Amino acid sequence: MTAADLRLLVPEIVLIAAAVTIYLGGAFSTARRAWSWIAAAALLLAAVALWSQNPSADGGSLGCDALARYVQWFALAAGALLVSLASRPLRFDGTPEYVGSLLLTVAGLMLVAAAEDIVLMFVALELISIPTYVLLYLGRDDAESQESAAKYFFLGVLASAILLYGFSFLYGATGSTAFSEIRAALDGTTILPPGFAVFARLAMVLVFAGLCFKVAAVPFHFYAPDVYQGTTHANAALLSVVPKAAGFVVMARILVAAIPGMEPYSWGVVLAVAVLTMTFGNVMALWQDDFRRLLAYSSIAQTGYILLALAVGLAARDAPGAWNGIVALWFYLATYAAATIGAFATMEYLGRAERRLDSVDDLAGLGRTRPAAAAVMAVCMFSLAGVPPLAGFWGKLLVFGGALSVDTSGTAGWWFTAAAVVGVLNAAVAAAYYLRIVAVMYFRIPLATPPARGGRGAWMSAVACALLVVGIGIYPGPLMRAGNFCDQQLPRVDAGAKHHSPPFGRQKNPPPPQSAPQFGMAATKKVSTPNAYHIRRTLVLSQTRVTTSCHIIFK
Amino acid sequence: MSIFTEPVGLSHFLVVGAVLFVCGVICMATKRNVLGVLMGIELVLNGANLNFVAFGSSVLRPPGTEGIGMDGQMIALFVIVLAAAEAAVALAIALSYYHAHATVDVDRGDELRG
Repeated sequence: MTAADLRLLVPEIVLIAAAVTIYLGGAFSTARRAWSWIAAAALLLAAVALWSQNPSADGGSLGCDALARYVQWFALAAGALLVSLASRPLRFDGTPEYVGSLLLTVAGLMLVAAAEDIVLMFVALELISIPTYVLLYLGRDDAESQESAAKYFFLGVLASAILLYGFSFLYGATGSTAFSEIRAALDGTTILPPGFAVFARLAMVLVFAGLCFKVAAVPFHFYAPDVYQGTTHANAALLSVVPKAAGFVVMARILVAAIPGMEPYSWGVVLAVAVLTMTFGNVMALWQDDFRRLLAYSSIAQTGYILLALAVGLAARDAPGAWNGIVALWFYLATYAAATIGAFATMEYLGRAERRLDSVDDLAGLGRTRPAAAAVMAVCMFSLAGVPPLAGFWGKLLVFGGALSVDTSGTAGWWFTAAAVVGVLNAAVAAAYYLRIVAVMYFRIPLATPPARGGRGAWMSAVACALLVVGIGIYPGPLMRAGNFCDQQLPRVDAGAKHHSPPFGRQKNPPPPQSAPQFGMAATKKVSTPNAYHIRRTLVLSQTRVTTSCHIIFK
Repeated sequence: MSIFTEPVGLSHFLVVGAVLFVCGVICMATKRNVLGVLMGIELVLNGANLNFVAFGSSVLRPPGTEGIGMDGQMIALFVIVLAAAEAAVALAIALSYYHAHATVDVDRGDELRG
């Protein structure tokens, strides 16, 4: 640990110091608003520190590549939205602890993004998990909430343990905890001790299983609906964004970058999980009446789309003519997070401390009683459904276009084409329940006017999310380019790069990524391929059909 | 050569680690008492810990790969501390679960479904 490493950690140190201050100060004053302001100031300070960092510095076990940068900015933005969303006072003590834990999860996500080492990554993941358990416990004080906290805790710890067990095999097979050395040991040029090669595969399966819990993918999804339903809107927003982002970062770091040579095995598993996840989530969401439960199934389905992008990235990362799945992954994650936080923030704003809005029916006639809130909610729902020109549309376009662009001369291509067809059908099914919420808001008679006492913070957060969704939808280029940078700097195995790197030596500097840097236009240029046109037409057609049928049903 | 007749080596530690891990998972799945589930968590984490220590031991590693430093042992220490932190949170959750349900039977928390 040198001074340079410490400088790289300044944003996280600022956040953790602020969290500790809030915890300690909370013993003397429980005023929620003051602590929210301090948290916001800490996030701003961390953003300044992140902005002023030198991105080319070498941090040893701290990566500072574009992927780390992207996810760190994502974490700060999501943190700001969540702090603003949760700025309403709780009914009982524990408000400072709530804000402090929120900051700790943000710091944890930033560390996960930067971790280039098994130990740091595991500790950072726990820095997300443990405050999340506390947040779930603090959110409400009724039996349902305690049940959901207990469920999330036990499954979360089991998932962490499975992940750790997988990490132990990764460490055992390669004899190192640094991803650069793990990659060097597994790239096929080093001869592992007899029997050790199987450990790497075992590690891949276990790590993927552990991460499936974090991102709520089938078959580790079943906690999500119960936990979301049993907690608050703010906690549900946190759960649907922060652990998911962390899970996908670790997947990208380990499955794509750290375990080379596994792609022929791993893409099939990821693809199967992706298709099952999106189908299950969408079908189950169709008959939910509880809003958070519905969005829980929606978040499971969205995980499926993101996993499809990951599978494309694994199967055809550098294949000529294929779209880049990893770019789609980061883009989709950001659009999904904005729309989901916006939906939960609107619900939070519409309720009040004594009575939350829980059911979809509570939104009846919102278009007449609270037109602004209804508009924000409608924007978020349309984006989640993937209606152009909102942000979610571009995400779905990149994901399905990527799946269709995999070369169909091999078997992989056919599987991906089939998966894309299933995905598009899924998007149509999903439109039914997203648009049902819109239909309830605009075509039903209002039962009662929602109190809208959720606080200015929640409303600001909701409006900011809606603006983000619209802004990204109109002008998606910068975010796509940022995603492209992430992929360019993620290490890849290259035939020419295999000959240096001693098997178990202490090698400080990883070899630089071998690809020619072609930043910039690559992602945006791709949108005009014929595939893109076809998929776009299919999407639009299916959605208009479902929209009209929904109108007929719900009128 | 059977695993029972050869001298104690890496594979024996891995087998014990795997048995601990599986016992822990079974314990978490079958125990109805919250504290029983917590014991399962400890078993699961320590199964992984045992793996780290065994893989990191320079005595146990295959020839040619001994010099890999103290990483395994360090991770084990980190995990022990994390397990303690998790146990603290778990006991708080168990206590409030008891306040809400008047029991520590996890099967009684069945209000959320659908």
